[in-house]
Amino acid sequence: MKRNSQAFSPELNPGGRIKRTGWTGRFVPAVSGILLLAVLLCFSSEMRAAERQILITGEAFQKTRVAVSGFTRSGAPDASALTQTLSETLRFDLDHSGFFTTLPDIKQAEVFVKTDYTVSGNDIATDCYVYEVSSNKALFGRRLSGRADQARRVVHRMADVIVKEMTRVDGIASTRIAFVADGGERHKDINLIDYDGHNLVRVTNDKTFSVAPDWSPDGSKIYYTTYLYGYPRVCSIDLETGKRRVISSYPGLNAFPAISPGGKEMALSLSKDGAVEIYAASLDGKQPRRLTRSQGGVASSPCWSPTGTQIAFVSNRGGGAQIYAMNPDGSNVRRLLSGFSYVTSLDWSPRGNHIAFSARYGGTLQIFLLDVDRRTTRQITSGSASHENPSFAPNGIHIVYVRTSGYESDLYVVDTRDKELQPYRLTSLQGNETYPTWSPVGY
Amino acid sequence: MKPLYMIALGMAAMALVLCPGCKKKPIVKPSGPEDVVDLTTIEPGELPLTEPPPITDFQEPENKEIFRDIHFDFDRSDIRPIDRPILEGIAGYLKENPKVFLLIEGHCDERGTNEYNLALGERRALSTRAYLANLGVEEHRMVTVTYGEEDPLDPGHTDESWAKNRRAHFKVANQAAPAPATQ
Repeated sequence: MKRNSQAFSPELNPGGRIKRTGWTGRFVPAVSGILLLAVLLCFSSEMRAAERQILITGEAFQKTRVAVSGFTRSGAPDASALTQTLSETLRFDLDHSGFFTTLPDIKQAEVFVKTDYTVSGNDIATDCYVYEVSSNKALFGRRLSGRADQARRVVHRMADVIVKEMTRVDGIASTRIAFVADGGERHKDINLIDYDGHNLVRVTNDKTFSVAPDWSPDGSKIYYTTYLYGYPRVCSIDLETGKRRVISSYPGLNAFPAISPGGKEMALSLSKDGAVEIYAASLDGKQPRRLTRSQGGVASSPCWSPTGTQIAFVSNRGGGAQIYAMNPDGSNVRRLLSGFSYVTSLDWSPRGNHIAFSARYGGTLQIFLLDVDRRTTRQITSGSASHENPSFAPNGIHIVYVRTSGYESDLYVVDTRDKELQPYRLTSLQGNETYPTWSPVGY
Repeated sequence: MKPLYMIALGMAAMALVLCPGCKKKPIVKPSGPEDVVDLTTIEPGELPLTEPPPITDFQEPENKEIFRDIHFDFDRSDIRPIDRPILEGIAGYLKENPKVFLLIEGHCDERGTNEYNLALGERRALSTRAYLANLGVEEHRMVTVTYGEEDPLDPGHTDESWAKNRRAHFKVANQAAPAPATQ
């Protein structure tokens, strides 16, 4: 990962250079001391042209080259730790947005981002100004404020604003990932971590197994399976209030709740009728209707398509673990893959076009993408380590997964469209990190 | 008098079956003072379990030679022929000791996704329960719990360790009274 934290090339004089652009004047150039009320800024037709140019999806994706100056503080260069942190955070966010690659030289860049901040008490105000290099025109500016002790979050929001303005896609810099970490002897806990590996928060501390987390569609709750009552049961925790509720406590296994995109019902795995099958139930776990008949196998890990018209799942009904899809009423069950074996995990892209899955490949496990319409597959991970349990970021571009090497499992994040960018390690805790699941929205 | 007493007792017993939590609240209104039935003196019969006993009631069995672990092939949950005698021994014991309840733990090795292994572990426990039921053990006396790959017996990473970890493990509880709900 690129983490160049040096001050920006001195030859760039943002004030002077941008001043010559003949901009209509609605956008005040980023000279020190001048503050910008960016929310009042209207979009120019030039900017819309730039958007169209930058918004490209698909596999032949070219990232936009962005020159990022380090943050200045109240208009002046500053070498403090906070300034460094802000600058590094923004660079990281843009480099891992899926749309940009940052470089130090403005001459090779298409876009230039200049940033400044001021601190007053525990308030931080950050300004960003984005310019198109070829035309020397300002595209937009924004001011974002927040608490100085949460300065990273303010910068994450700034990165998301830049991504949204330039691409019309929601950024992922303010998202986080729920996962399971070893908590001690026979303890596993649900944890949260920001998408960039900072800000680890332990959600449960029950001295038992708390596993298999999943998010509510609005990101306000996490559903997970707890052994607090001895037998595995599904409960929910409200991330705002901490309030917990038992959702499903049928005899046997209660696990893997997946809330439908409309938020009206959930799919989950139960074993109350003597087999591990997928059921549809109301959000409080009531009135479960059995959807699958797995003929001696299991049906696990249900996952809705983003439109709610399909449920994909893992089953070994045919002898080995494979992924299938069905209608939400359990009809039209079909196998999704051929030529892959031991397919034990999957996730449906929020954009709907891809399903990520792990499969046995050359003596280890690798993650692949299935193009749902074209029926083609593409390998995402490689190497001798084992890679499994993919979960898509809300942008449908990044995937978090479990990488196991030397019998220790850690979480990594990969940009599925950028073969050049190395996956980055998200967690480095003692013990194993498993069951990653990316939040559907930022926080 | 006697037939009336029997009817009252029968109805009371029915009430007990339908409503295990309300022992002290007779719904039968006695017709006269001599017909009052103190329900607390009735020995509770064999109630079918609606909730399993709390998992903490289950202990490692004393008869370790009977309750041996059985093992599974990779990604499979069918009972191996070699393990049938173990299950026959367990079924025999349970038939001779009708108050003993059985907890069947399903486990997996560390390979594969944790989530899938949670399901597979339950399937192994359910296969084991179905096999024992086939041998004549009442299903309601057997409860299952999966630990997936979360609770390995052998922490090693060899084929041998994995083979040991793909197991069904047994614990027993003596049913002294109807089991309370676990919540």
